[in-house]
Amino acid sequence: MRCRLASALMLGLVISGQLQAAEGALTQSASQAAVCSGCHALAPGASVPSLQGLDALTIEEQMLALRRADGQTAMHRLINAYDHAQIRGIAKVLAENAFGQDERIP
Amino acid sequence: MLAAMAASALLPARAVAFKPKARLVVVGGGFAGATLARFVKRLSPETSVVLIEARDHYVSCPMSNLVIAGQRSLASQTFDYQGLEAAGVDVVRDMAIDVDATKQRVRLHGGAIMDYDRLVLAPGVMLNFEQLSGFSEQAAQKMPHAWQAGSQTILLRRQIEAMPDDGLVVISVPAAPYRCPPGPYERASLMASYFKQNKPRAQILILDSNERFSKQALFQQGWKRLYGDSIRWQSASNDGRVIRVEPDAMRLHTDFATYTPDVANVIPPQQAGLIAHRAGVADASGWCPVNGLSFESRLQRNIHVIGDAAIAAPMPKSAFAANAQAKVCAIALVRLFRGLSPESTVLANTCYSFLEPESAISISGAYLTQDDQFSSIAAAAGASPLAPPAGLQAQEALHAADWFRAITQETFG
Repeated sequence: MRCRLASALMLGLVISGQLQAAEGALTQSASQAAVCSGCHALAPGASVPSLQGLDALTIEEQMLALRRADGQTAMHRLINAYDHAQIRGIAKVLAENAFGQDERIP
Repeated sequence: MLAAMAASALLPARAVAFKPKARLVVVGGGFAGATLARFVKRLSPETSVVLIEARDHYVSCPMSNLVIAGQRSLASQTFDYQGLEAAGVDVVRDMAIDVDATKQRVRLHGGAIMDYDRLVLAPGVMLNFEQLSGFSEQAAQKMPHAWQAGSQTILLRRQIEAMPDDGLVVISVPAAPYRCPPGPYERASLMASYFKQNKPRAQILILDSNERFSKQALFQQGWKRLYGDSIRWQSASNDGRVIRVEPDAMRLHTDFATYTPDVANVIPPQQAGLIAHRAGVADASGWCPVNGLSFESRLQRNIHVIGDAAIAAPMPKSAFAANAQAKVCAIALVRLFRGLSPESTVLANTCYSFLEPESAISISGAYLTQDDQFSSIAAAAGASPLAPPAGLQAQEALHAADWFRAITQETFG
């Protein structure tokens, strides 16, 4: 009995461990944040900043500031697609590096 | 009993459908397919990901108009699949020629049969040469389309270099939808930029099968400012639709006129790549209707279609859209493998176009994905201003270059 319980627990832990491995990358916020890397590379570009290594609050504040700014780049337009809750969710996914992007800069 | 309770407490109901060893087959190694293959492997290393791609290298259409203008090399447009192999994707150098959607099998040209749990088709576009009377793949050696980058890009470059100083280039634009809606107009801009430096008397005529085009006001204003009257545009209702070509005589016919230019850049009508038709996922329009949440075909179960081949309007057929769709589809697939339903999200697109090598304009949009449709989010849609502040178009050219570096790195490694 104890043996069966132990193996059932282990099986459960193994499977839930696998389930959780990328769970943060499977959320609605993650699918919204996934678009960002189309322009924002791991290493900063000449004009598009990298989003690597920033904490969630910094990203959230920068996105909110972008929404208030009256600049005329593509990002100044796209930011209007997201409400504050979505911005907070996207910032969290990016800060947690939920997609496990390679941190090494090529 | 205790064991059963403990196990059920630990195992959520969805674990029943957990498929750790799911077999995913991806057809097509462009911006959609290669991104998807890498992203699934990153999200779910236990999933077996096979990418079927016949070519050793991918030559990017985005930025290839700069190659035609002599501003970039074709080498800087060319990517291999080593990055995908390093990421654990099994890259099979072959061509998918048939799909049995019932048995969930793909047949390859080399004879191999591959079983899948889910199939992703990312075949891009097929050029419908025969839809334009007189045109063919062979005719494109005289009248290049340069709408699939590579030798066609170089051919068009050589033709504009070799033409007389006061020569005429005609660009024939097919009816929408086609890959890269602003592409023909960016091409005209960059050809004009080359002519301005090298052949100031040369002319460009765009014969268009459409009534309007992407970023039209921005392009037309830029043309006037930079190139005077050297680029002319004729809409379909202004006899702009090319209905027949004679490649040997270098003639193009519209309903009421015949043109004999020095260079003819004939972009043929397009539809989803051939394998989409073989798999039964294309409808009468020639493109593939998909579910907005998962990109699963509306016509065949367990087959997903992303990129140019999919009907995701109002999203355009762009590399940005293909890459973004791939990532959202990858998340949806891994959710499905784990017994979770795909969720609604917000997709985005930005297309940069160069007016000259150091100035660019952009159009962007965001799209809410739903079961049955993609809908544009009005607050996020728009293009660069018509009266740009000093430096904005130069900054957008830098954005375009950064975008290209980021997207190709993410797609190919």
